[in-house]
Amino acid sequence: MAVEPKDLTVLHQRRRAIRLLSLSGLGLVAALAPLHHARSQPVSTLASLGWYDGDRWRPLALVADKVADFSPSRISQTSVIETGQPDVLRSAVLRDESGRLRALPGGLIVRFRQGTTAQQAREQLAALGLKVSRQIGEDQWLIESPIGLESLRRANELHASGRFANVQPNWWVERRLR
Amino acid sequence: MTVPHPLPTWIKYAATAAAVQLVVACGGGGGAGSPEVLGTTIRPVESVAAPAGLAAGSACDLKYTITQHPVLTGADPLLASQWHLHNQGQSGGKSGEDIRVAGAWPLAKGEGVIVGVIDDSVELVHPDLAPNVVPGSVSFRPGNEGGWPVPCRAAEDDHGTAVAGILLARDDNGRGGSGVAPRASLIGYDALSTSLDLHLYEALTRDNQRVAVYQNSWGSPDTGAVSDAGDLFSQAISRGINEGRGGLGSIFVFSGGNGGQGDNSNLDGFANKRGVIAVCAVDDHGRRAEFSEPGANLLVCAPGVGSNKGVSTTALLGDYRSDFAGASAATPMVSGVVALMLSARPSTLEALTWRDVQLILAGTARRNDPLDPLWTRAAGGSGWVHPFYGYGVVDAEAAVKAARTWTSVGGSAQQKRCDSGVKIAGQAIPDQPSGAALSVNLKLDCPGISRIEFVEIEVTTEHSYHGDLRIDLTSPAGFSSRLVDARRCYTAGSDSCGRYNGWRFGTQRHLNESAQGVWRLDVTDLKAGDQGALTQWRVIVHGR
Repeated sequence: MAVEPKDLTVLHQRRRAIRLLSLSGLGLVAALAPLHHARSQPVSTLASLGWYDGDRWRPLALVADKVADFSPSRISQTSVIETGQPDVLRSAVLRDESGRLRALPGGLIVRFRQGTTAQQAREQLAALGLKVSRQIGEDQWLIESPIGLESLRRANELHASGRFANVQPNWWVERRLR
Repeated sequence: MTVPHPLPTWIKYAATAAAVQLVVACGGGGGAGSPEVLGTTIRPVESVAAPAGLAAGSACDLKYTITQHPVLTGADPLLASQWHLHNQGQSGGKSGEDIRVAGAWPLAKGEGVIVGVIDDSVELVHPDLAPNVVPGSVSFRPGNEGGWPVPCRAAEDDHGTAVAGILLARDDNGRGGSGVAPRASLIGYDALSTSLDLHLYEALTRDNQRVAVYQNSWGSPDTGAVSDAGDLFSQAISRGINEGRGGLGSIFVFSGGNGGQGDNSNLDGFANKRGVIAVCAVDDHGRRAEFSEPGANLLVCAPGVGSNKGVSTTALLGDYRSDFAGASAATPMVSGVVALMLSARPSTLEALTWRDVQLILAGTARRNDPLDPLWTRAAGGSGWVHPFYGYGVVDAEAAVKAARTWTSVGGSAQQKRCDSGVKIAGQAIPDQPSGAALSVNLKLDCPGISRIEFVEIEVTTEHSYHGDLRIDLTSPAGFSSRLVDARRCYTAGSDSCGRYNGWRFGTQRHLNESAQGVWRLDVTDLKAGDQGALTQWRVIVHGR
């Protein structure tokens, strides 16, 4: 049975020079680094972390000692984050039930119910103050949202509103070339 | 810093329109120098815009400029060492343990078939790949969005380039070796460079009226944990098999995994979906590669590693390597065979659907390692099937010949579906040392499906360690699929194997059986201590 998420507090990330961890297998855009000075959320709030994957509620756990860096220059896994990079390019890292790491580069994927026209979709999104990045399928749209846990909160809130068939964050997920 | 590109001078000159657009070299200057040799007609260098995002000022080490090169003809010097194509024992393996492509090439080499390689970067400018590249490749990498998915740094991993070479490196061009489908067309998507849900969805659905085969040597981490692929991925596959190629269906080929005996391909949501061809790997003796995973979802295998060398293929900066190995090497061989099949199909017959392709591959695969005791004669009369080998090693010649005369079974629209609905079990699973299995039955009333093509089994258990469980499905014909075995998992930070929370297993083992009758699920807890119950289950059969 789906569990309703509790209020999520945005995790503000404040940190300085961080050395990248090397991740084997992928040249990751989301380079992961230890999180030294994050303000952590109350345990009671973290326990309710999760997301809607279609009809399923997928629980998540915050990985307190890592952060994902989505700055555009992170094109090599051997790069080093420079001191003073803007915090807005970094996301908290979460672990799903499979043990995979996930992070939030920003963006929501909104799927409308069948039969919704593109015009209707645009109007509904505009009425909610949501800014369209682009349409990515017949009934799916990419919506702007900030990097980090705020995207997760917005996705869950929109999904729970019942207006859409599904709303999920545009996840970065740990995968392997094999 | 610009890294000098070691391409030979002649690569800067092209004789084909496609190459004019695609062949690039590093170092700037536009390649306007004089050709040294080669070709009776050297066309002038054409001015073409530089790939988006890779112009001066980008964060890449490698700089690309548009040049031309001639198309050569002549024997491929590495062909003799490509034991996976023609095994004569050159890698220390057993002669004949290959994909038998030599007999297929006189019938087809992949002409007219576009393959989308979804990977990290692909060196589209590699002289053994460039002749096969067609417009449509896309990069998802930040700073290069919409540009070419080519390598950005000299030190980058060459996984995508190696995969593409195994699949369709150009033959008879006096360079390197040959791909399995050396005249197929290549489009690259570097969606694994970002690993974002959105990019993978877009790559898997992109251009799906043109792209016939989507090659995927990637998946979830091989930890042994239950790893869902997500609803967005399921949508991409559904869209592909239902709408791709005008309704014939996109062909999705995925690696079965490198987790070895302790893992199971059926625990990876990317590899166990209906519509996906999951590929296992064997060595050059035709035996299971140590890293290859078991799985009822596996359809066919291909060579993935040799005794004293890997697979010879293309590498970065116009180079070659002979040490590529893994399910990553096996998977593009099957994609290549699919390209040969589609290419060989006479235009006078209706084109092959995604279902036809899977049925042909299974029906023509070769029973490798024939003395292995785990081979079982399939109940539906579809030959032999094995938990590590599926229906055996892909046989290019047999598959291509079958493709030329096959009577199509239709696409998704013609496939029938029979769903048991969710069955509440709510029964405790006996813990060790009893050793007993919890057995539950359900009856499917599916008179319309006399020949099964794929079975999905949705399972929910509540258990304090799901890795203790072995789960077997038995069909009305009495034939079993081991959906998963007990195992330990290697998830970072815990030893959790995840949960079977509505987890959908898939099995290819019941091909051509009847769906009608009683299906049984056996759940056995193989390790003492942790306990739990089977909450609910469901069987969904697809066939005709």
